[in-house]
Amino acid sequence: MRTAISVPVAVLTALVVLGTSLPALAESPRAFMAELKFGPWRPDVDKEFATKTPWSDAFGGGSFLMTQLEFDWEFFKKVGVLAVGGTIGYSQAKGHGRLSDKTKSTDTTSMHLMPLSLSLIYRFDYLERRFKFPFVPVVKGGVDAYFWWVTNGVGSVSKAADGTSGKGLTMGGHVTAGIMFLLDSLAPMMAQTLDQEIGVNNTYLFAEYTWNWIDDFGSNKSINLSSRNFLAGIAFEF
Amino acid sequence: MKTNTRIVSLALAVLVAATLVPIPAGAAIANYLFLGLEAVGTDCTLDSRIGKTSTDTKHVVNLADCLELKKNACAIKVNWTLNSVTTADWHWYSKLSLPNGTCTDSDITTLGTSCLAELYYGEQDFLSAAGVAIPIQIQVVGDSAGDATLTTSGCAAGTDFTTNLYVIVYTPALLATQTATYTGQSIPFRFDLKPPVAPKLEESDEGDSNITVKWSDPDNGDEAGIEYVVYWGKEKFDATSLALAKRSGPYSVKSHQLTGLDNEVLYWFAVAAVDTNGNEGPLSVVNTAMPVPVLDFFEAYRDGDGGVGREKGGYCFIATAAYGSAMADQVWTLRTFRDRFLLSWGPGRGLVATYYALSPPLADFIAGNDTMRAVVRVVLWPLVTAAGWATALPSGWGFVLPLLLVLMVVATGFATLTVVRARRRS
Repeated sequence: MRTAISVPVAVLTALVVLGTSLPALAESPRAFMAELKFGPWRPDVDKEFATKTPWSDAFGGGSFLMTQLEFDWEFFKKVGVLAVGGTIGYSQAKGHGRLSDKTKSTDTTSMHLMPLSLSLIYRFDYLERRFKFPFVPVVKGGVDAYFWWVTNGVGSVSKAADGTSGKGLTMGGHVTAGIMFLLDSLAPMMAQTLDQEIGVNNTYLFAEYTWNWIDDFGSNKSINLSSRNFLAGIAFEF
Repeated sequence: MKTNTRIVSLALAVLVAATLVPIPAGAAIANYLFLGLEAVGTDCTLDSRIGKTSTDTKHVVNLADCLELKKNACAIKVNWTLNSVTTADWHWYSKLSLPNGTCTDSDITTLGTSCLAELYYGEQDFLSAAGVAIPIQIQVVGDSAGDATLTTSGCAAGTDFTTNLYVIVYTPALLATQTATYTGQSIPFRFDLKPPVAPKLEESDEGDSNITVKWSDPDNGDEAGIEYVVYWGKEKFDATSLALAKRSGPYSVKSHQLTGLDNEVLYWFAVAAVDTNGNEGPLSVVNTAMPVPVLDFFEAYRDGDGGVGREKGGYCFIATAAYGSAMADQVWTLRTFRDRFLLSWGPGRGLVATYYALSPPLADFIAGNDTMRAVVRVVLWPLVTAAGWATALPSGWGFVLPLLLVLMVVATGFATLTVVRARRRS
């Protein structure tokens, strides 16, 4: 009886074999990870209202690019890696204001967002380190502080009719689940050279999905910047 | 200084004196120094573009400068000298070319067809009076073709030409021993009297307290360095009443946003092009626009129809789906309970945040199914009743409800434990 081996299994097997076939060199100490990631972002502002849709009216139905930089400190490296990390990001939504008849104005309006996060991270890299399996699941959770400001048609920070300034800080939390792929498995010699010369132990491509609750923990006086984000990027462990 | 001045009966008044020193023919004057330019006459000034200082090598007169010089009968005094010479007596001559013409600078007899038919002469001892400035005056006068004026048409707009002033020197003391040679130095003056043409206004954008004026400039497209000025105001104006308008610019781009305007007030505006020599062209057509109120995102977000930010009480997804309306009494009761008890308490806010994150898809499912709506109403009934009792409590008695809840949980647990123990014994 012939057994068909699926292509993905064959590829993974090849990667594992390739990874384990190299002569073992001493790895430099690893203590940190830096991530650069990008993804679409769209907040749940309109869900605050039963009938109004101020976000969609101004910025349309699409998403905007979120760019984030994360830096982690790995403090536990027994079974998997526990780390604490900080993230800073930026996104800008651009759109147009509305005239009194609700039609689109030529005046532009933009919302700028700078999210800051503090996270506890767990990476299950046991299979990678023990069996050279190149996929590493990761989960994260933590708190967030989103700085935001809205500009109007002349580029100034907006001000509502009641005098409220269109800028602020909204707090919340997040949970993230993701998967990382170890690039070193594709080029082990290059990875070893990278480690020896500049101390980068591992390089990953990764994708993660984040649930954000950013509304000052349910306050009805705060803008709802909650969202569900898919982000992908590159990470360096060193 | 001995100076023999022969004022030309035509346009130029030139004072020149020099003594020739044997210098190879064709070379510039050795030890020549340009000392700068001055305005001569009442209420006469020179713009910096004319290159007034001794280090300037470019000398430009634009249309406005030219008209001003002519109007006030101003003259441009050109100061020059010779430095560190070894001979006392110098003779000097001055020539002026016609527009875009040249004069010979190696003799004093040939004037040529593109040189003004006048020659000016002076003498100067540069040895004992080293570095003394010799003035040559250029004046713009006359309009008619009969005058040999600096330009045959005065300051006629639309012309762009260069006129060269020549200083020619020699020293007679050396004539006895060798062939006299003349050495000349030319100082070019560019008269850029050609302003750019008017740009074309495009449709403007009317915003909140602002108007974005836009224009195109196809006719000046080949000219480098063109900039634009915007004239604008609440009063109607034209080219003859620019004092009624404000002037903004110059700008190198083809649009400009006027800000700080009054909404629903008519504004007038026009644009003119300015070239690199400061010639401002005619105005474009004068247009009007009116700024209008616009709600940006934050203003729309805070706009009251139902309340500030979130609608009053916020949105209870599942209850609204079950009861069919956000205005239902039961929904108001739950909303009031949430605002009064849960949101004032940390874990309560977390519970609410989790509910908002998870409930929308469930609410969508319930809203589309009458049976589910009925089931949810039954399930919600004790919650709505308890919430109603709690919200009926006077302010300050909020602790009673959580206390009652804790007592209920403890009582239920105690009762269950008792029943279980009794069953085991039996």
